[in-house]
Amino acid sequence: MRRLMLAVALLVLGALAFAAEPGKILIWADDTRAPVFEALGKAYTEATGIPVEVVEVGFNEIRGQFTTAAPAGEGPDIIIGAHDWVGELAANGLLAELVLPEELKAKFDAVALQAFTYGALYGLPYAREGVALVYNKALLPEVPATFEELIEFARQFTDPTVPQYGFAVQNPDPYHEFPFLSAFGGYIFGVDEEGKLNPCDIGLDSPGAIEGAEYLDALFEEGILAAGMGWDIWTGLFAEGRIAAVITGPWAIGIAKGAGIDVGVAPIPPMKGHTPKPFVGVQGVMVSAFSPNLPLVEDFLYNYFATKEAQLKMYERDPRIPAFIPAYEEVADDPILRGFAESIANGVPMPNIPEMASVWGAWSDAMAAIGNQELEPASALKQAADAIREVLGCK
Amino acid sequence: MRFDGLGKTLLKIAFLSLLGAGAVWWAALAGMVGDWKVIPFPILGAAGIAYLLLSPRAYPLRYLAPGLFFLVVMVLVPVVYNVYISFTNYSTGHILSKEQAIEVLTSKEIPSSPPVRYPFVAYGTPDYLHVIVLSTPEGTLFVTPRGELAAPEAYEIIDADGDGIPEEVDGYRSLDTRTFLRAHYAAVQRIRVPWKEGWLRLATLREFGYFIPRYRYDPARDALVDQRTGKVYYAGPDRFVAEDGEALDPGWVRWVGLANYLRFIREPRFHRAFGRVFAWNIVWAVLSVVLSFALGLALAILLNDRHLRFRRLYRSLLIVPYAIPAFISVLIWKGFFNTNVGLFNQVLQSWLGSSLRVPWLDDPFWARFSLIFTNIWLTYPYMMLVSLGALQAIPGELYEAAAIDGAGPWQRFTRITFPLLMVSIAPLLIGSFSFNFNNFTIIWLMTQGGPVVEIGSQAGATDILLSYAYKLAFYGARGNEYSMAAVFGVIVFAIVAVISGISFTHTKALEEVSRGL
Repeated sequence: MRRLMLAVALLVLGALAFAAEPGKILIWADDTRAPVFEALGKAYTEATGIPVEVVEVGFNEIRGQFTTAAPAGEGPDIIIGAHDWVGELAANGLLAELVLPEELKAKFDAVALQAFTYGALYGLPYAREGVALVYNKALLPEVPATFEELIEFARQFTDPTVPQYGFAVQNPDPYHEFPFLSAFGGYIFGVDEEGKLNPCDIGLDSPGAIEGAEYLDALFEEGILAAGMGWDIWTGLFAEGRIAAVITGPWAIGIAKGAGIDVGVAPIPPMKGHTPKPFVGVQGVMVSAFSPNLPLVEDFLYNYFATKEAQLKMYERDPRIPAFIPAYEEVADDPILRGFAESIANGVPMPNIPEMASVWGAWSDAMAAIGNQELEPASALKQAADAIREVLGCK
Repeated sequence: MRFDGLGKTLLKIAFLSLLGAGAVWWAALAGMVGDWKVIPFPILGAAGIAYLLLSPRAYPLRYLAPGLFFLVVMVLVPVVYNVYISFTNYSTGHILSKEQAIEVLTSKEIPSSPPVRYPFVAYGTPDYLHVIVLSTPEGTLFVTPRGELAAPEAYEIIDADGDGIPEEVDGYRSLDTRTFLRAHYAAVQRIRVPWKEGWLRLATLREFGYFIPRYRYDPARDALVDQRTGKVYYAGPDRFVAEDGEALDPGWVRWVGLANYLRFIREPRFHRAFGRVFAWNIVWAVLSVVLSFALGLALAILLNDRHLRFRRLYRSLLIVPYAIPAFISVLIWKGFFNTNVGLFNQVLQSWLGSSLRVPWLDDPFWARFSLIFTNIWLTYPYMMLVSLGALQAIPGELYEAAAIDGAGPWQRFTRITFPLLMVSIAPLLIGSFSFNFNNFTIIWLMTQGGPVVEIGSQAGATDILLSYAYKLAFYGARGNEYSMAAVFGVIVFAIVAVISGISFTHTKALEEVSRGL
């Protein structure tokens, strides 16, 4: 029935030509990355005679369309994607396991490879990203050595009536607020003895997470942090030079630079002597379990994609921190890139298990309740963790 | 006239011939790739179009057919599919068929470290593959194109330089990698040569590799056996499960009957929020329609007054909210409503002192208020426009007669304007109700269903059924709970169908009003 429906849909859309076939590598990539794959594909075809076709698919469409198309035999061989898709796609049986040659494995950032591991390696990383302290050099010439000094500065500087803020963090937004929780030992999923994430060991209400949330809560309570500071709002204020420092990622740099702000990037200063550990997100390529071209795809990825030249081309097109160490070393003298790289060197990969999907909503609710001063951190996080345990059937 | 008819017939025949050829070509193509189920579609489609164009009896259908076609494709098919999904377990980990799940699991291999690789040479022509010769430390292996090992004696080998790699086998020369890949890759990639505890398969462009499968399928027990540990995973209803409870991903899709509907009733996390969401959904749709209609009608009556100066200017200005795409204006309103830096609170603070902060989007009551307010702003121009049109259709004599009978303005409005207006506008209001009942866009852009009512409940204070279903579908336990979201889809569909059905029956009563005139 589903196969039939899909066949009808594909016929209506005339998309029959987009299916993987033996002897030809088909890649789904978004408009940013597609040109690089096209160039690499051309080089590969010249060297081996194997045609490479790149189909442009919007980044947010790739996961859903791949989930529908791959089982019906209509999917591509390779998709570009984010590491937190891995658990869901692998649980659905859609991804092929990759076996990296040892000498190649050593050239990749270990955290990035770990991010694509879900029992086995399911993808080849190319870029990593995460949050750091991004600051306006005109307002905050030097990053304080501790977070407490940063708070002291914000205490002097912040005045909501102007408005101007010494320090901001996008909220309610668990992704950006996670460094506070992780600094004090908070975690999302614990790790079992085999090194796998255990979906029933939920650390949102662990003592460390609560201590971190209380540290954050005090900032809201004092009025140093403004609750409900969404992306649109803080980027607007930052661009007007009304925010001195903010926890954000590389995606905000363009806006700041475009507004003529002289930005600096540094790791988030230690809180009470504990290092904040931001989430690390990793971008990479994954291979379909239904691909008839595994030998070709592995050859293409290991010998043509995982090279310094190819990775630098990816960097030029999409300037995120390369996960391929030889390429990273080539571009590491950029202070902004280095600032982010140093920050996420302390980080942990965002959990890639499919159970993570049930965490975001409840966790976000708890962070909103903390920011609005509706609930004490301990009870908000306890409620969130219990709700997640209920959904996941953990006792 | 006769020539015209002849030309038309010729054109028709030419078109139908092309159509028939296209359909046959399409069907043949589908047959070639093995998609048997697709074949009837082009054939039946072409036959249907031919019947429409040739049969005089089908003449009226010609005009209805395109609409009916899209009705089926865009409306009926998704509805049927949605209902079908609600009777399955389609969700993360259960999207393949059982055969596919077994195929995926049994094709998993245990990576050997270091990898075992044997270089190969293929012999044949671009059109014919004769044999593949692998060089292994244990000697040379001869692999037939069908993936069987053959005895070396069966082949006549010429190895002039004595390096163990023949130059010719049975008179066939070796193929270079490029030719081999282009001509024979598709066939060779399927080969699994049984070898020791596993198989040999094409691993790189120039080598075969030795792999041991991780699981073997035992059809007698309908079970998978882990080759490393000997653990047996028996086929459960929707996935393979070992005796200790460990389950393997992926599972498969299966028909579960009414199980999802029973789950909806039994599991508190699904129905706990349903009543609250449903009640708000009704309030939201009713207030959005009633208030925006009231405002639109009031403005229309004002603008309909010929004594009003600058009528055109006002009308143009009042239509502006309708002209701005909702995606943009909703986000602007969202910014206005921000508690800390939003325009409204800034203005209120400058008037009434800095302690005043209305939690426009952070408190359930105010969030609902803000949403309805924004939706009125977005929809009143539409209501105003349709009311203006309908007002102009009311004959002026009725008002003159009423004035002579001594009716005041209010009586004229309640006895003449409103009843006559409802005749033409009531169906639009019902449509507007259904639209707002499912107005996912504005809810999602403005609050994403927030603020929080109960931590961890997927339904926030402003979630409507549709946004709740969306959250269930994409932020479920292990990612996607399509089947439970489909249950919600069916429920929403039933509710909207019932409400619309009742409303349309009642609007028939309104039509009596105009017939009475």
